[in-house]
Parts: sequence; C-alpha cells; structure tokens
Amino acid sequence: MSLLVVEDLHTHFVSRDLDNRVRTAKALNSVSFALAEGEVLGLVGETGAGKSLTAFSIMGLLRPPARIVQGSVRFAGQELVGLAPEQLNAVRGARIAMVGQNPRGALDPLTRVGEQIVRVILAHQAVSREAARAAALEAMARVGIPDPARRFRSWPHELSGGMAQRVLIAMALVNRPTLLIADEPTTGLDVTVQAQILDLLRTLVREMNMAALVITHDLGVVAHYCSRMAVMFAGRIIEMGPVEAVFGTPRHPYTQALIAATPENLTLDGASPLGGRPPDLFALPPGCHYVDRCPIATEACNALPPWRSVAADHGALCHRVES
Amino acid sequence: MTLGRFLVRRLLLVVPLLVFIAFLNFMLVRISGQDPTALIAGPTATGGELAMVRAELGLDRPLHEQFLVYIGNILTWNLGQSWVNKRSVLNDIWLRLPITLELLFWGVGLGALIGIPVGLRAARHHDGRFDQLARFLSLLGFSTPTYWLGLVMILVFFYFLNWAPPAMGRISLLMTAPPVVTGSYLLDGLIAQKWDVVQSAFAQLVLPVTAMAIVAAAPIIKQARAIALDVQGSEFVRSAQAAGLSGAVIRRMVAKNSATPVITFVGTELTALIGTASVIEYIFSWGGLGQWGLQAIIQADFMVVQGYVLTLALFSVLVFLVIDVAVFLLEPRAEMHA
Ligand SMILES: Nc1ncnc2c1ncn2[C@@H]1O[C@H](COP(=O)(O)OP(=O)(O)OP(=O)(O)O)[C@@H](O)[C@H]1O
Ligand code: SF4
Ligand SMILES: [Mg+2]
Repeated sequence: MSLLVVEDLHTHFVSRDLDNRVRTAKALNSVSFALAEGEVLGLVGETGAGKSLTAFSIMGLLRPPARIVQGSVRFAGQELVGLAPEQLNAVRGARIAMVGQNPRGALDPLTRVGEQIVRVILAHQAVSREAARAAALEAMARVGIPDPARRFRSWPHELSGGMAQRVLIAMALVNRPTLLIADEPTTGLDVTVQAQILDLLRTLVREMNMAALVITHDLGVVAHYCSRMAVMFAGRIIEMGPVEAVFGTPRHPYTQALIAATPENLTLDGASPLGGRPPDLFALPPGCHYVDRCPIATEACNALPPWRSVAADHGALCHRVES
Repeated sequence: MTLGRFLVRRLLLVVPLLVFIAFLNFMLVRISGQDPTALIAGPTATGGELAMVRAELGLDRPLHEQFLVYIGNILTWNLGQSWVNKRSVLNDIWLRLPITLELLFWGVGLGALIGIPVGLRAARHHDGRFDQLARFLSLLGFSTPTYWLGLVMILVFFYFLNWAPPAMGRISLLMTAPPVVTGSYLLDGLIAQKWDVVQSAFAQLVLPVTAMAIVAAAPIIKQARAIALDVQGSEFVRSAQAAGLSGAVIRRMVAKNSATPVITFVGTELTALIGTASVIEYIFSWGGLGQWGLQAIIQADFMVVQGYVLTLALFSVLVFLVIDVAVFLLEPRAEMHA
C-alpha cells in the first residue's frame, strides 16, 4: 500500500490587484504522485516550478494567499487536506518530518538548540523532560554532532550551516517519522559539507526505513540517491519514472533538454539551464505549459496533454509521447 | 561580554554625545537672536544699565569662554536661575520632571499594556475581524489630535457626566500634598499611607493618563502588529509548524522573538511622546516640564530653555541606555552586535 498519495492537487495564490480584481497564480496544477513505504522519490525542476509548494501543501504549511483549491493528500490512509491545525500537528513532526533549505533560518534564534529538539519531542511523546533531554542528546550524537552535551546549550547563531542542518535533521528524526521530506537540504552549504549531509541523510533514511521525498536542483543527487524521480515544470509533474529509465530514455521534451543540457555535473543550479523563461503563473497557456519553449510543439499542444504511460511506472505529460 | 563591560562601553559612547548635545543647546540659544538683557533690565534701562546686566550674565565674554563656563556649571549641577523670575533652574526641574514623567510612564505603560497584546493578536488573525478592528482603532488614535481628545474627555467625563474631578492639577485643591519622595503624588501618597491622597491623585490621573495611553497605543498597536507579522513570516515559525509544535508554543515563540523590537519601539515612544505629554499636562493644568519649557522659549529665558533641553536630552539618552541593556539581556546574539 502507498504511504503517501497526492492526487490532483491544485494550489493557487488568490489575491486582488489594485483595481480589486481577483488574480490567480496557478502554482500547482493537478499534481499527482504516490510514495510507497521506504521508497525514495526525487522531485526535480527549475526554480519556481512548485517543488517547495508541493511540500508545503502536503504538510499543511501554506500561508495566505496560497491555498489548496482542489485535490487530496492521503497519508497512511488519512486525508490531510482540510484538517484542523491541531489534527495536523499529530502528523507533522511525528510521522512526517521536513528538513528545509535554510537550516540557520529554520532554528528559533532565541532558544538553545537542544531545547528546540526537546520541544519537538515533548510535542509528540508523553515522556518526562529528562527522558526527552536524553533522547535529544542521543539524536544529536546520531547525526554526528560532536560533543552533544556542549552543543545542546549552543545558540543557533553559534552554529555553522552544516551543524545547523544536523540539528534540524536530529529534530526531524527524533520522533521516528515514516516519511521525510527534504527540500533542497544542502543548498547554501559548502560543497564538502553538502556531501556529508547527503550521506548522513541517506544512511538514516535506510537505517530507519523511512520513505523520503527528496526535492533538489541537483540531478546528481537524484541519480545517486533516489529510486524514482518526478520532473516538475510550471506547477505540473511532466514526467515520472524509475531514475534509470528517465535518465536513460527521457520522454518529455523538457526532460530531454534538461538532461542533455546538464551532462557534466547534472545540476540545474537554480535557473533554467535551457535559457527559457518559466511561464507566467497568472496567465498559463491553456494546454501544455511547455508549448512556448518546446521544439516539437504542434497545434494539438494548445489542448491539455494527456498522461502517456510508456511503461508500467514511467510516463510523461505530452501529446507527442507514444504510449 | 559581561553586562558590566557592555555598560561601560555604552556609557563611554554617551559622553561625547552629551557634550555635543550641550554644545548644540548652548549654540542654538545664543544664535537664536533673542537678547534677554532688555527683558531683564526693564524698558526704562539706560545703555549703561544694559551693559551692566550683560556683564552680570557673562554675555559680554567671548563665546568659547561662555561655553566652558556653561560646561563647568553643568558638571557642578549649577544650571543657573531663570532670568525672568530668578528661580533656580535645577530646583524647578526636580519639581516638574516627576510630573511629566508620571504622565509619560503611566500613559505609555498603559498604552503598551493595551497595544502590545492587541498588536500581537491582530497579527495572529491577519486580515480577520480582530485585525481589521485593531487597524481601525489604531488609525483612529493616530488621527485624533491630542488637545481635542483631552478637551472632549474633560467635557464628557467632568462637565456632563461628572465622573471625573475638575481638570485642575494633580490632586484635589482641598488636600495637602504628601511628603515628596518620588514626586508622584500617587506613589508618595502610598508611601505615606495617606489613602485619601492616593484616591484623589488617582482620580486626577485617570483622564490625562487615559488620553496619553490612547495616543501612545495607536502606534504601538501598529508597530507590534507589523513586528509580529514579520516574525510569523520567518522561516523558523514555518519549521516549528512543520515540527507539529502547538499553537500555544508557537504563539510564545512569536511573542518572544517580537520582544526586542517591540521594547525598543516602546522606549522610543517614551521619548517621542514628550511633546504630547506637554499638551496633555497643559490641558489638565499639571504644571509639568513641558509647560515650563514652552513658556521659557516664548520668554527667551535662556537658562530655563537650556535646562529644559538638557533634561530632555538626558532623559532620551537614559531611555536608550535602558533599552540597550534590556536588548542585551534578552538577545543571545547581542554580543555579536555590541
Ligand atoms: N504570493 C505569491 N503570489 C503568486 N505567486 C507566488 C507567490 N509566492 C510564490 N509564488 C510562486 O509560486 C511558485 C512556486 O514556488 P516554489 O517555492 O514552490 O518553487 P520551487 O520549485 O521550490 O523553486 P526553488 O527551486 O527556487 O526552491 C513560484 O513560481 C513563485 O513565483
Ligand atoms: S505537449 Fe506539445 S508542447 Fe508540450 S511538450 Fe509535448 S510536444 Fe511539446
Ligand atoms: Mg523551493
């Protein structure tokens, strides 16, 4: 059974302009994917494609004017869309944990880091403070923080980015979640530290048998780290399949361009490697979102492309892909 | 860095600032073009008499000498006497400063007590009913002229409803003031355990302090709301939500992280609202510092004006010092900025 099922998820930014007319930025458009227990899915796409927004939508972390206008997120059989914050809090941080792209900004500047881990434990487990403290120290040791007892009393501003990310990983794992969402967990870290953090995450995900949604710009991370991958473009998943299949025979023209353009280091580096501009979310084309940049577009592409499966678990959202 | 070292560094920074303020103060009054000699000597004075008065005041000496004398006088607590009524400036400051401070502290304190929670709550319900109400009230407070507010309050609560005592000073005219300890009749009454004095002083305080609080609360609501909104939007709040921390824990976190900028703002309010306090003090016939200073400016009473400006400057410097210490104690990052 799937642990996480995201189905037909639409997240929009609904705001009003100066003339009080409603403007809608369609940031996520019918995003669907599923994640089995223990599976590691990579989510890639250029900046602004909607990767973080997908994560926030799953976790119920959207802030106005963003909201889910349609679709469902089922986690272990439970519908999360529309849950009250108190009910969501039984899931967030306990069964689904998240590690973000700005570790130093993600820590409360006025609370010692150890206390922050303790706080997360006490929010979800009925244990004493001493037990929580012991568990926090153990988690800190486990993520490779040297001298945890001393670091426990550190302030966030005293930590390096890599150390802060280790603290956040400890915080994410301390309640033994079954799903980890890692949103560009190594952005902004030194290259050597990036590798360490990735190794740490991989080890922990394996040891704890977690499922993981790994959001990244770095196709190399996906290649080495994930079993399946999904490619996003302008709020849609436009291709999804096993990593070898997508890298080996990419079907969607965007994926093809992406992989062709990044052969050496396999990184998207934030911007589009293809030079094109992402489409305006306030005025998306009616059919395929990629139509303006696609070299093989036809008249038909002005209509919504169908999801074409090329194998049992590999498919793309394109008129010109043959099933 | 210890608090002691921090304080020493801050105080050392304050010294040149104070000298500079004293200099400006000295110069501004000298170059204002107003000559008090004629005022003091009287309309019938002869040229010789005028020169005598000038010499007596030291006004015939070169400016830099006058300035050194002025600094020396300040350092020996000699602020001179009024050229108009010969009263000691320092004595008048001691007499009147507590009056203004009482209005300022109770008023801004009450304003903060109302404004901060309202602002935080408005931020929590961003764009909701409560937020809209808070924004409206804040705007209303902003756009109400202080003197009008004071007069309307007197009209309604004294004249029509007769709930408040007449706006004539800080204590009933029939009562003797308690022995001076703090200069506040309310506190001095409490210290002397004179309950009728406490009651009368309190009754006199209600309207002016409320007026002051309304004026102070408007910007505090606005600012506390903006600060809390900013904190709520920060990444660590989102990551706290992602970790499933309860609403109460997150609320506390937002309040704590808003504390430093909010405290700083309330402190600046304390110095910025002295003018407002002067207006209110005037309307309610309190005879505080503001009334005294304004009169001196009109009469070109240099010594009093200098004493007045110096007092305000010292007060601001002190307030900012206290803010700095509070921030130092609240912020683990403070040592980095210090
Ligand atoms: N208030 C808003 N109104 C309209 N559109 C918005 C608003 N805030 C964000 N967006 C859009 O939502 C889209 C989704 O952004 P998201 O952060 O999910 O991208 P991402 O794929 O995570 O990119 P990155 O790789 O840079 O992290 C972006 O295109 C952004 O422009
Ligand atoms: S649907 Fe058409 S425009 Fe879109 S990717 Fe396929 S061929 Fe290109
Ligand atoms: Mg992102």
